Amino acid sequence: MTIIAAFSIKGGVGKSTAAANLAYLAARAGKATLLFDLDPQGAASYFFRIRPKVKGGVEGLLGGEQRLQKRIKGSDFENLDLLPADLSYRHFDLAFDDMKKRRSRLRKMLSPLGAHYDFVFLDCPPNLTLLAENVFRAADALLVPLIPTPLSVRTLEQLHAFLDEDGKGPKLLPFFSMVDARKKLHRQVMDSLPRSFPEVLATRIPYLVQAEWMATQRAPINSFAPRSRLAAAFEELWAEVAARCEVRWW
Amino acid sequence: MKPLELIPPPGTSADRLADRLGALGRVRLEAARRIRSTLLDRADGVLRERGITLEWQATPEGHRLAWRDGPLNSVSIPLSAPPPRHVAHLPEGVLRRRLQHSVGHGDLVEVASVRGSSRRVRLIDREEKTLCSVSVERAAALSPNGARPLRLEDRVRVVPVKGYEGLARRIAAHLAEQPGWKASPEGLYEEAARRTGGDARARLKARISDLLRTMEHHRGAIDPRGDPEELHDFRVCLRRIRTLFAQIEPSTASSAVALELKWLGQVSGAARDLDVQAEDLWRTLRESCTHHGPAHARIEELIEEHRHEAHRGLADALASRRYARLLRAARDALRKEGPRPRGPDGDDAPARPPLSAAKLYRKALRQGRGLGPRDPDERFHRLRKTLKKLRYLLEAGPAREDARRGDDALKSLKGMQTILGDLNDVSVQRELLEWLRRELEGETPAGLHGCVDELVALAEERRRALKTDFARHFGSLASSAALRSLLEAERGSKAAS
Repeated sequence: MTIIAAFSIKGGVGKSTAAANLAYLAARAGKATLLFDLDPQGAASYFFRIRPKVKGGVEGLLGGEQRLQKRIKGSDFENLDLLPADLSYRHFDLAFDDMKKRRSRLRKMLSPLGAHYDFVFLDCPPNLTLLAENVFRAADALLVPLIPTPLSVRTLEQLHAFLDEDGKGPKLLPFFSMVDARKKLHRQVMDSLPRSFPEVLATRIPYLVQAEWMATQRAPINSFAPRSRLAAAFEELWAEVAARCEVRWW
Repeated sequence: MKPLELIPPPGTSADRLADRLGALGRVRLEAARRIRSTLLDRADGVLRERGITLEWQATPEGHRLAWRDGPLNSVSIPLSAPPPRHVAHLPEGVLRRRLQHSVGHGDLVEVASVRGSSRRVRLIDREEKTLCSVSVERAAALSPNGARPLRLEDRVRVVPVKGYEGLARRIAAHLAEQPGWKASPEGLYEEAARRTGGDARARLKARISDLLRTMEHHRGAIDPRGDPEELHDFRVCLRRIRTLFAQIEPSTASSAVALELKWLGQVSGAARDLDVQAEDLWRTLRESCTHHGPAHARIEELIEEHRHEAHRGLADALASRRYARLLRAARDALRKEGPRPRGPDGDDAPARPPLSAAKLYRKALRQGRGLGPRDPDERFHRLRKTLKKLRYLLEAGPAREDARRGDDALKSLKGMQTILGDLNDVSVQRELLEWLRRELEGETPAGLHGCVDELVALAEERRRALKTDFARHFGSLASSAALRSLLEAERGSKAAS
């Protein structure tokens, strides 16, 4: 099982959009996939028309595999399940803080799912808390959407510094998101950043109105507009992520 | 949760069903879809026995292979035609792992095909999320030998969505209470398999016949100057036939055939080994050998001669009466209805050889412990065979029961086998080089002996590296916690039984 977390310290950069679309593409490719919406805002759950409510809240998820399995919902797409968001997820930190080995609780919680899923995508809330540390321990790769602006780049530097300090970091997969190629600043940042961060992925997700259609259609872009530019960009991103995560298709 | 299939009263249409379900909540009626699917199973019907459906579907978007283990536990993958014959032909993932645990190394055979149409009614919530789908299916079953289609009973299938199972149960109960409706005693695919004969043994025999035909087709194309893959494909068919014969029945007829197939394997193996080794040697000569010119040409000429000689031997064998007799005997064995092998309780299950994985593991440890760069290759080869048996045994039993530990244990075994396999290749190459050295004795073109010496040195270097690698990997295999605990579990379950 490969765990990929869509993570950024900054909000509104396209984490949920990326997590929802990549999870859909993985499922479409025949991989048993789970999307875990850790963000209490519940955007990823909204995309799949699933109510952001989990019985028992955070506590309900922490009682072992059986209880976790019962809270998973099937989506309208083959091979794709979802663990919906819940407002109580804002208390994840408090719940973990009371436990032993508090930084690896999420990993322990997800590990039994390995028998059922090939991929788990985590849609994370934007902050650097104990939950984020748990995500870093649990995930095999961190997918970091970056709007090509100085503020966004700064968050990548902060994340890098934090992971270096922590010493047990997952693979970092930053990519440019919401790119507006008409803006000079975007072009400059996209030219210069890969020199200092060579791990930045080559795929760029353009800023297109189609991303907003996802919220009206409430489905991943590749399911309802597979020929759109945005869908093509996500296909390309998925191919690159899968290659970096060394996914064996055959 | 059991599959929720119902037999509706005659004439029930999807529109009428949608009206009926409309009383329970919001519904969406979808367009009709064609059903074009083929049921697959192992020869002994293990999937059907365990209530698992493995279905190869033709959909407008392409082919898919779908696994259903109860209504909730399903996974499907896109897969191009033709239907897979073996687990090894499937991509990595949950479906492959599950199938591997159920069928092991057994071949997949076509049990029946289903053709028809299905129309789905989705029950949705306010957000238009599907909570359950109910489909009306009209289909006919076809047996793989292309007999006339058999009309199956119309049925309504209630498909729950994970997380909303209660609703599916309520809908099924509601429909079953309606006058004229009844719960189906068997699923659509069970009925298809039963009505078309469903005898996996017959399918297996059909599969062997297919393989014999394919093998014959490749035999015609085997040529040392042609594509070496023809011989490879011939041998793949041969290997599969040998495995499948072992699966049908250990009757006298088929065991005699098995012995002859073994002979054919040995004859063709020599030619194939030389095809592979020649290609490897050309590459080494081109890329790593510092001597050039006439020496290369002479070596190539000699090995080519040797290779052609082996192919002549193979061609003679394939044109011999013995080969013709073998084909006849194999076809006869397939036609005969031999006695089915009996299990210990008199059932139809083939009796499993009383091999113990723990014993094999201990044997492997004895054989491998202390093996070093100076030990002869035969000892490594013996260990290779023991580990291969151990792996097959684990794959057929304990690793199936405990997927997590099983995967770790099999991974450590496979890593070891890769090294031992490479070592075996080097050993065969070394023999070829020795033969070459003997053949070239007395010849004096410039750099000829130096070139052979260099090839020998390269092979030796590779052999040393592999043996050093072996020591490292064997240490981790010997201390593999997953393997040990798996064997402990096996011993525990045996003691309990």
